[in-house]
Amino acid sequence: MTLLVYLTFFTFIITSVYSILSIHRDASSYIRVTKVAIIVAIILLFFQGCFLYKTIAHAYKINIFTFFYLIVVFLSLLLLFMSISRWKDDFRALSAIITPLITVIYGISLLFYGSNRFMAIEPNHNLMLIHIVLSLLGEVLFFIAFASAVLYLVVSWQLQKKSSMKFIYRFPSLGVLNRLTNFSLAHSLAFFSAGIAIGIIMLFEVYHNISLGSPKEILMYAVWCILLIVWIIAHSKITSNFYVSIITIVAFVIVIVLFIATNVVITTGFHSFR
Amino acid sequence: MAECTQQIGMVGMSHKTASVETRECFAFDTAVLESFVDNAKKNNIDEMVYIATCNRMELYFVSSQIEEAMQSVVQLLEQFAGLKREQFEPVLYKKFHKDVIRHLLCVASSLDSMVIGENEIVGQVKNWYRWAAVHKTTGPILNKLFHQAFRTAKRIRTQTEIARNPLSIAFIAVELARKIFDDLASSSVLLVGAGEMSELILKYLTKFKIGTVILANRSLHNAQRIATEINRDATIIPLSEIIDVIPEVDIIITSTGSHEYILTRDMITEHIKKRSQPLFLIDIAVPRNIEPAVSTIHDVFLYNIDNLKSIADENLKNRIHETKLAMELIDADAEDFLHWYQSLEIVPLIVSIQETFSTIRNEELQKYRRRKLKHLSDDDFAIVEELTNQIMSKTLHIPISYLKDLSDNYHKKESKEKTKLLQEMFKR
Repeated sequence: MTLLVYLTFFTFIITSVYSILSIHRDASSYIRVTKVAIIVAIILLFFQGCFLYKTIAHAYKINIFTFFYLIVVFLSLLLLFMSISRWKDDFRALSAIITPLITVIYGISLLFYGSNRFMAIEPNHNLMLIHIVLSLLGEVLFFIAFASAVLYLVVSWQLQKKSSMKFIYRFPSLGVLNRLTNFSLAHSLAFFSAGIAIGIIMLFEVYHNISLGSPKEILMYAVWCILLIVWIIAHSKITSNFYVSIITIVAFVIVIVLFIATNVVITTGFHSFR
Repeated sequence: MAECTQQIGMVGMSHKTASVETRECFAFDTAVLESFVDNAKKNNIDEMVYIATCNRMELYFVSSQIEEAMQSVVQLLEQFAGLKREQFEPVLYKKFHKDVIRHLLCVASSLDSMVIGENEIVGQVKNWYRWAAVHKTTGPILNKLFHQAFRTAKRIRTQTEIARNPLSIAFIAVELARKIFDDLASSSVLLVGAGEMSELILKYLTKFKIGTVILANRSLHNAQRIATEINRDATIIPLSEIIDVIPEVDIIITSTGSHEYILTRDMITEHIKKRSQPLFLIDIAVPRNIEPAVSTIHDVFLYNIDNLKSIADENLKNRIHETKLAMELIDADAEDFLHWYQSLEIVPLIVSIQETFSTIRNEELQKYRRRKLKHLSDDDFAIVEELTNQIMSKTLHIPISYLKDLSDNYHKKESKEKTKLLQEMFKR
């Protein structure tokens, strides 16, 4: 398992290097390698999943590493989906920003490999799995919105700079990036809302209470509020796309800081990872 | 065998060597060309493809007597163009063998074009090749060569940036618009004033199916003329109303003779608040119509004529830089073709070996039929024939496979020496 984990990390590093090279050198061979490396990484993640599943199935609990693992799996699958979906023309630019971030997330998760901080799973309730999947999809799509917002600023800066078209050509248009940001924000909010709703139903059925007031819940509600505000700003078109991108980035950074603060800095007693 | 090998040659003239007056004499119509081809066939020319574009006329041909074929082609050109030989021969370039391969790959990839990286040439070469194929003037060598040229052209277009960055200022403006807006069909443009360049940009935008067109002009008649020229429904407004339509438009092209800014930073700042989409401003006018400080507003992209010109210059530099990479690809592909072409020399050897063995087999069979096997019925003898044929085929399978391997590596000296030895062995 340890070998598999480090092999996956190494594959993600290769993916990141090639995705950045593909945009820097503008060679199609690099993007082909990137796609293959993503597929290899997903296969390796699948084998890891087989090992992790044993732990989950036997002990009904996941540790913090598994939580990161699930985020990485969803992000990788989403990225692969982008390479064959309507976003495929913009895959190169998107992968150049998303794969290094996946690598960073996976790298952070290695710090928690073998961690004994667990989150208990309610084994007798099927809604738990749906709650986790929907919430994670919401977070992953927020991550995609962040990536496209960063790209929006990069392209906007290049256009303001009036630099050669050689560089601008490699990126999607501002319109496409704005559409991707809005699409990701809307779907992120939808999945996250559904995830929270399922969580509330589950709590009510198991504990006969719609809230336990745990720090984990507070974190989820905070993220949801942030998402809602960003979505309203983007959807209502009260400001320019440029500022929507900045707000998305700032919001994502706040969420990440909250997440890191609750999961890394405060090591005990905050939420279910204990 | 070597003396009957077919060779490739070409003769032509281009914008680099000949004036348009000379080139136009060689732009044959299809009826004349058919007659030209018929004459060429009578002059030891086995395969031929004629190419004529506004910048060049070239004839590619294959013959087993290449020097004589070249003389014949020049004579035919003299005859059909109606010019004296001394009038056009100095501007002709004649190439043989490897130089022809390299030249055609360069032409198809637009490295030899007036505008490096232009798109049209490969289509024109394809059309002429198709014409030759339909009129059955091509054969295995030119078929292979032209298909290689099309593949190389595609490879260069996809693997280099040679054709990517536009050189025309109007087209650069449109490409920038496409990098800002997701879909030009749902975008709108306001043209303020009139001018050759701004109208050209508008025409390109119309080509890319721009949504709404608004024309602001001092003279309504002039605005009407532009609308007619671009063949589009357009809203025509007086210059005084441009401020009111700014929140509705995505692209503004200014080209008036005004000596004062018609759009200032304050005006744009005020109106940008009412919209979420970016605003693309193209200021073609000299003196400028839009205050330069506008470019400091977020999501407003202001390009003046100098900005567009410097992008065009930068793009040209990129194209020239990319030619180095393109030439490397051409050299590699030309080398591949040359290997295949040289390997053709092995085909007659394979045929010769098969014929030698087949003749020996037939002679021996007939000899035995007359003497020791005369008691056999026709059916039984057919079985013996079949048997000997099978033995011969299986025996020859190994050396022929070996020869085919040699042909794949025919460019190597060692392979050539081995082939020579085998040629000596099976000389009849």
